[in-house]
Amino acid sequence: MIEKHLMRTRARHSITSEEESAIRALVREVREVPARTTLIHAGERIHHSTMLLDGLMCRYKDLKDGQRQIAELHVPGDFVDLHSFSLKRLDHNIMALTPCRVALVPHDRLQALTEHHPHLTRIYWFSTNLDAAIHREWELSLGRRDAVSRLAHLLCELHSRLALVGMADDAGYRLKLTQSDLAECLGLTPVHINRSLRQLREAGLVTFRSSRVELHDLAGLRGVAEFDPAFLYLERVEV
Amino acid sequence: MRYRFDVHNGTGFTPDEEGQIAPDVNAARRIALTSIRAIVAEEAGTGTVDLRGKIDVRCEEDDTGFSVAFIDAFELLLPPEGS
Repeated sequence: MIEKHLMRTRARHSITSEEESAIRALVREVREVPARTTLIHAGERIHHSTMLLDGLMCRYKDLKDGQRQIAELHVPGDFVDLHSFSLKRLDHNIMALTPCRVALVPHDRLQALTEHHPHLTRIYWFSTNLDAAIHREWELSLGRRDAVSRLAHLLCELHSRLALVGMADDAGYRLKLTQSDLAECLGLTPVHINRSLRQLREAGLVTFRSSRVELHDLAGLRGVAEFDPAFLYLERVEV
Repeated sequence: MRYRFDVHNGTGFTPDEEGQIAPDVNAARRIALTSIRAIVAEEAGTGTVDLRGKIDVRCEEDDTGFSVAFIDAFELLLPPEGS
């Protein structure tokens, strides 16, 4: 059930079988979430954290006129709001972009984990630090990259993160997002996304069509994006 | 209703295969205007302002079709000639 979460964790850290059991015991229940559902609203009191098992989710903030900015995408295996354990309410919303399956982890179980498993506590601290690193990279994109390189960077990031949980390979990956979703991630209009995708396709780098990202030249795409995966901390590290 | 926004400009023709949902034709026109402004704003950063393009808006559900010229998305305030 939480295999992708374990895969993501083991890609960076060594965990014992006892620690694996402790992680599995965190889950209280599993829920299905329909696409386009805001699962957690900003400001509401939260008593559990949510682990994404299947589907795509996002963190977003919006303006009164309905304009939405997606601040981070979540892929299977991610805790989407581990930070709610200490914050208790979020300053942003959590939404399912596709049909999702999630595992709910009560905060009292996380509390017990921090008291009995200091190594796992450090691993989950690392995880929230990783989210912050992704936010910083998105900030760089929104502030400084042009539309084409911004889009190229996001496609490279998703390739790396999905590959970590066995959902992408050198040929590409499935991505059930719309151009409007990508526009909300990148601070662009859907029309601009469409035009930027055309430029990347005509350059022979990547094609995004029918919910599938086909990588024709990953090195070239990374070059356009100035993509350096260092911000994803993909190497093994003992904490 | 789903409207499609096909762009014709200096970088070529970009057909819209996905489209966007808008409540009516006025909202679709506003999407076209916002899209044009976003494209031109980024191009301006490279030192070029090319207003020769247009967006063809089409809705297959109600058979709507109209064009929005790039230049119509802006109020141009130019210095008088010779100044």
